[in-house]
Amino acid sequence: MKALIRKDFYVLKKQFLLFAVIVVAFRFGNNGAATLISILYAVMLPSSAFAYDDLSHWDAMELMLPYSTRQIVLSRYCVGWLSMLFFLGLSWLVQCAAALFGVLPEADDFRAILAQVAIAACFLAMTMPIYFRFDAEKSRGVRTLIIVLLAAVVGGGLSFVTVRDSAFVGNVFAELLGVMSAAAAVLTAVSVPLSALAWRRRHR
Amino acid sequence: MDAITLSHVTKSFRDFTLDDVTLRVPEGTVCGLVGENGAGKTTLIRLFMGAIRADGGAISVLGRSPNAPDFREAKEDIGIVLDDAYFPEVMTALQVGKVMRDTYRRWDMEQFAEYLRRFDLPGKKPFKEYSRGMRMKLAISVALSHNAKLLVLDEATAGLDPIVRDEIIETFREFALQDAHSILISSHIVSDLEKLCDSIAFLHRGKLLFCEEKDALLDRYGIFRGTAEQADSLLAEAIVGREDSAYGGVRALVRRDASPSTLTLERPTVEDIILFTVKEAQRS
Repeated sequence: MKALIRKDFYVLKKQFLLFAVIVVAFRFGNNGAATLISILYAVMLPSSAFAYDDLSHWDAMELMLPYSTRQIVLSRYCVGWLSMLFFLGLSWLVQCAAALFGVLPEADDFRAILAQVAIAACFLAMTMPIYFRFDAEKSRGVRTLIIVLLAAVVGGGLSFVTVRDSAFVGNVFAELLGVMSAAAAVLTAVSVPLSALAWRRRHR
Repeated sequence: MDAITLSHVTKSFRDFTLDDVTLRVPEGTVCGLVGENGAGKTTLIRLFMGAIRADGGAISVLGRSPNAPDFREAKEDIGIVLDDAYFPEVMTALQVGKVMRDTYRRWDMEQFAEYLRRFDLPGKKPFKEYSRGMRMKLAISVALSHNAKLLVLDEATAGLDPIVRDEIIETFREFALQDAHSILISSHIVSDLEKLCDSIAFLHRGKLLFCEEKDALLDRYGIFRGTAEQADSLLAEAIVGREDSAYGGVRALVRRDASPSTLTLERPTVEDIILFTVKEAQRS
């Protein structure tokens, strides 16, 4: 599995660097949803890895190498989770540093951050089986639909209360921690075997 | 032990069927799998590598079934080269090496570096900037750097210029000379196979028309050149296939055991045997 994770990070290296710059810049915007947007972007990185695989026909090679279906599937989830942790950490560090110099308010409540991680994990869990079943081009369309729905739910919810300051948004997320964590756990538990099934069906 | 055994293997797709294929590649031998495009060579390779499941029959590779959970162990001993090197294009050869180090338990980084030097492959140049010859050399370097016992080559020499092809064939020959090393090479470039193989298996439209030792195959047949009258005087079962020229001459592939011993026959090439066999199969 380490081999496949390593391969994906080699492939995504440039996007990682570019996105790190965007996250830093975005963080200074003091947007209440900055952390969420950063980590949502991060969990989209595996989809780029799928697109690179399609382009190079890597799956033809992958099937011949000593990887199990479990390794192939889990490695992609790991890339999503690791990217999410990396950009979450980066976003948090930037906010802490900026808060230290009085540029930004203090970092978000830790519970709020965890809730946003859970939302991103839900997104990852919802999109991965699609990528394992179809090619990157088809999957991208479905993913866009999920993003629009998710943005409507999260953004619409925040607009409804008409308060957009970072602290309030943080509180909303903190309150949602339990629900979102449970949803992320359930969706991931269903998503991983579903992805394995989708991958087998695509290749057999 | 056989490196590869297929027994009555079938696999059906919507528009193609691999039909009742029985094939053996004994350990320590080189088997050439010949066939036109779409004959089923890649399907056969995907079947015994466990990439797809057969509808029927039995397959064993290095003593293991491709459908068994422990087949990954067998894959550790198999070096694979497909018709292109399907590594992500943004990666470099050195990065490919590091990925493979985490893939194969017996990966030999020194050996890999040695192949990169031998093939003059730049380690830090992105793979997308490689020529086709360089791409294939990288794939071969990977296949030969984890102490494989069996090399599976699917059209590995297709699209390469004769000089690179020759260099690559020589590398395969070196591999085959080592103790208990086996190769299955699929190609439609029969001259490459003739240089390298101990046995030839010929697939045509999903059916295995023959699988025999190369020397026995070449000894069994002969090329007859003569007039139409001379050809007509031969027994019908002696003639595998014939080409009549517009000038009355005939060139035919004949079975030596069914031909008169006094008949002068040229030694055929594997390509002759295959071409005549296909033409006859199409005619019938």
